[in-house]
Amino acid sequence: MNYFNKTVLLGCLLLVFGSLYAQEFKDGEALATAVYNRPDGDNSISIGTMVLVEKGHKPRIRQMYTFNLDLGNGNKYMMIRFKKPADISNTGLLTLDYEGDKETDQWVYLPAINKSRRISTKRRGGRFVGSDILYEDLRDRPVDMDKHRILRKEKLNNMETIVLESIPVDPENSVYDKKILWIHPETLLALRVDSYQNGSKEPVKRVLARQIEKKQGYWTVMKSIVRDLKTHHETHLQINKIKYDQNVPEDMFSLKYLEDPQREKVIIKQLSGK
Amino acid sequence: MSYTKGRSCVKEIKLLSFRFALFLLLVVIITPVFFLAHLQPNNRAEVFFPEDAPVRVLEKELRQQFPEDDVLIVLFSSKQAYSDDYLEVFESIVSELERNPLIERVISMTTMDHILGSDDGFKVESVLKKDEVQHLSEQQRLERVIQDRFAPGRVVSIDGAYQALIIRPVSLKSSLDNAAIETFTRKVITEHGLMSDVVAIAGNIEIEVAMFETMLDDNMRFIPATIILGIILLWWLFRKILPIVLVLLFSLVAVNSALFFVVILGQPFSMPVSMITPLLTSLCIAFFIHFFNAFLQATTLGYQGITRIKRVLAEVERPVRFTVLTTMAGLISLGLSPLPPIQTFGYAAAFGLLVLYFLVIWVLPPLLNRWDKGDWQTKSSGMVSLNRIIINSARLSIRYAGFVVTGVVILLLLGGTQLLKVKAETDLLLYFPQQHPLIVSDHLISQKIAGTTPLEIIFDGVGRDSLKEPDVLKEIKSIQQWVQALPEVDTTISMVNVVEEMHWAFHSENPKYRDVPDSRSIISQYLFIYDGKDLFDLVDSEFQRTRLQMSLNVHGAREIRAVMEKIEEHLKSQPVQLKWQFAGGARMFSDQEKLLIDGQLKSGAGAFILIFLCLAFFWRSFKPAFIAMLPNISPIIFIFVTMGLLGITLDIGTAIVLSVAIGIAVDDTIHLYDAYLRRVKIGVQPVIALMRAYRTAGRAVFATSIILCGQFFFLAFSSFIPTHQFGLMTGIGLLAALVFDILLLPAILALGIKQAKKA
Repeated sequence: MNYFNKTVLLGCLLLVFGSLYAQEFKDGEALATAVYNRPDGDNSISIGTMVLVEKGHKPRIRQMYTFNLDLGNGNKYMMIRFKKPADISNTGLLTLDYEGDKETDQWVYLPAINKSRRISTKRRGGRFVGSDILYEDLRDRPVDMDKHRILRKEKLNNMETIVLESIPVDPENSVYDKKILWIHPETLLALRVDSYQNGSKEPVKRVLARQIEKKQGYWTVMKSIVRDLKTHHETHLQINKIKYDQNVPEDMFSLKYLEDPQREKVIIKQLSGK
Repeated sequence: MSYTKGRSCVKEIKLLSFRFALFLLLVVIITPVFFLAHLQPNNRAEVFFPEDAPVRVLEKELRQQFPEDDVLIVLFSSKQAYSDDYLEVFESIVSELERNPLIERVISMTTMDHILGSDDGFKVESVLKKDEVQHLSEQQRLERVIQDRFAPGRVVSIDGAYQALIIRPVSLKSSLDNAAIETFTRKVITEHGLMSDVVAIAGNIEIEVAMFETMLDDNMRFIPATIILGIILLWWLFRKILPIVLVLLFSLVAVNSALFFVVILGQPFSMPVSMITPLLTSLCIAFFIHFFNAFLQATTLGYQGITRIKRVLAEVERPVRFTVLTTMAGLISLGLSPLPPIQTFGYAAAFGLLVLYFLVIWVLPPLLNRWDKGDWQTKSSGMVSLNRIIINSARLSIRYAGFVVTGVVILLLLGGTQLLKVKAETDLLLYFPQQHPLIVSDHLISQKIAGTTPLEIIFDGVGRDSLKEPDVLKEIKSIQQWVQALPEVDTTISMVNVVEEMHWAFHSENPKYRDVPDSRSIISQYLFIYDGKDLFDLVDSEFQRTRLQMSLNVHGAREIRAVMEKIEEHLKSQPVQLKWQFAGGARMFSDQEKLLIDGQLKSGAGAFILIFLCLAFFWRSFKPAFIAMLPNISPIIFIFVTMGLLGITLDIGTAIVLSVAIGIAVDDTIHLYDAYLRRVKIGVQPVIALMRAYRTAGRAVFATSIILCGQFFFLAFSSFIPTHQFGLMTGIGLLAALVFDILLLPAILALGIKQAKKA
């Protein structure tokens, strides 16, 4: 079954079951807050693939583990560990988002020189490992950093969505001028996100959720595509396995762990259920 | 309308009806108009190469992998350049420019990658983005920019006193896009109040815009002026309004038809194509002079009304048909040139000429029959005063035939040594006079930033990620170091520099790590996490093809080729494991030079052969064809001798001169020689036939040559060198052809007559 059929099937299921949970949002901020506070577990471990797709070239496939920890109040930690291909194996990225105005901390670890280095979080527009995801996309973005407005209701792949516009309050703190999000009200997931940059009238990037599943009671985007609408370069993201609420320790999100991939093996075992 | 041979058949000539002629005229006026809107002005470098030329194929491939090479460079100089306010305005200009869909990226000190490290950190920042350097004083900012590995010699001068904005377009389709980018850039800079700090604007986009503007300027000023000049001369000769109105109308139709043909061929309106207008206008005036000269003669002989027109047609149709075919042969021979704009010029001008022939011979007579009411001045017109010059020179030439022929041969032999001095040139900058703002700007940028001639070596590895191998990068580094030491090379950059910078930054800016790492994994991981933009200007996403970019401080195809030969020699002497080839504007200039010379040889030889065969066909004999070619070879040699003497190069403008000049020059010979042969054929004594031929056809030949020369010489006032040289050399060629036609041709024929008598 191709992506489209799956999406249509998923859409039908959501229409039947999802409507039980349907709710009305009084304004854009309420909707954005609901999306931000969407239940997604205190922590999670996942294994997935990132595939870079460029016309005329063989795709580049990367395998990675992602560890997330949500401590509440905007304190969100994330570590990404690449496993394949071999020449980048164990390269890691650690992102620590804090509550309030405190700047995000970000480190990258290169196993070939066994060094981790802090990377500047001011540079939001840099492409993350050559993909179509920008560093800014990996960071937490609290609701109050943008002004939100509901534009309309719209059907997307036969699913009712609420179209939300989010514009940064301070244009300096985002590389995007605005985002238009197609929010599925029942799951509170964005099924499509169009991003605008440099005053462009047309979106420069589009994120499409291609497969959504409920895992341990949490709606999860299992497959998505990030498409650069200028270059037509695409990044396909797929979660092969995910486990929520696995007692991921807080100290895992530290330089000590980042620089020693052996330490996370115990946690990874939880993913395979061993 | 049908024609039969000879004057006795005047009565058998039938004219088209006035209404039908008018209908045909309207059809040829209106039809092209619908197509002209599709004419795309384009002087972009790739237009000048055939689709399958290796350099064009490579460029097409490179554009799939790398950004555009053609850029617009704006150079600023301001003492406040490193202040907060200035940087803010600079950034604002950059971001407004980048919002334009025609612009892909703007490279400047505020956007160029600056890689730096610290004890625990690693950053890829912009060299001088305001919010990243707010903690630095103006002096510290200046130091940061001039100490950056990549900025000096690219976006700032070595001392930081000059700042450049490099505007890189998306893939552009025509010169109009270039002009739009240039206009928009000026507008944005002016609106931000920094225009007074702009000291130079250059780069390939500016060159193309300047070419486009000059082309338009020539079409708007010089070309109408040449038409006016032709009209003044026409008035001097005939003193009648009708010929002038008809010349204007027919010229317009012929030019529009030729441009319509350009659209049909799917080609753009390029610089050589713009020469169609003066050429067809001049030829139109030449046709009319022959036509009206015969009209005048028929009037003198007492013919009136339709009989007069039929008499005129009987007199001129055959030589006009011959001349059209030979001129078309000359123009079509340009199809042998490998350069598409030159081919297009040849084919389209030939088509325009065909339309002109059709108009003059088929449409004009019924119109004249209806509209021509007034008298034709037979005594006071300028035509009469030309007779004496023609007759005297022909008489002189016949009397001293041996001396004339020997003199011409000696003169040509003496000048022959200059032929070898003629060189080809393809550098677009050399198409402008030294005082042109573009040249002044280019010199300033070359002086303050770096040379503006881009040359690249493209390296291809074997398979995906092959460029992550340390040995491969070390090989590129060694070549880069050697190339950088050449005096003609100002700056170089390659992916090796980026890898070295990352290695250095990841090791807390320890200078010993500013080198290529020894491990493939290290290189892979650096490249994996690299999040800047500059790297992918230098290597493709497959890490299989990379380019070593150089800025050369030399211009001109020969100097560029000399640098390329040096590099080639070095690379051949090294055990280089990578496949390599040259690319960039410099290679284009170099390849175009070869194509120009190749095209000149092929089209020149083609023109001679085609015209010779046409003449042999007309006169059903090779001998008269050979005799008629003699006075036309001489002016061509004369053109090249003049080019050698004056140091005029073979360029895109002069490359069409030979075929155009011989195509037109041979027309006069046909008129004169055909008039002579016709008289001999009906039994007139050869010497008398010769004198009569010069008396009847000679003055029209003289008048057309003078008008054509005047018009082409007028083009020489253009400030655009190819137009200037095209006008000058064609004028010289036609003038020489006239001199040879009225001196050498009668001398050759007189010698032939003497020989026949002796035999």
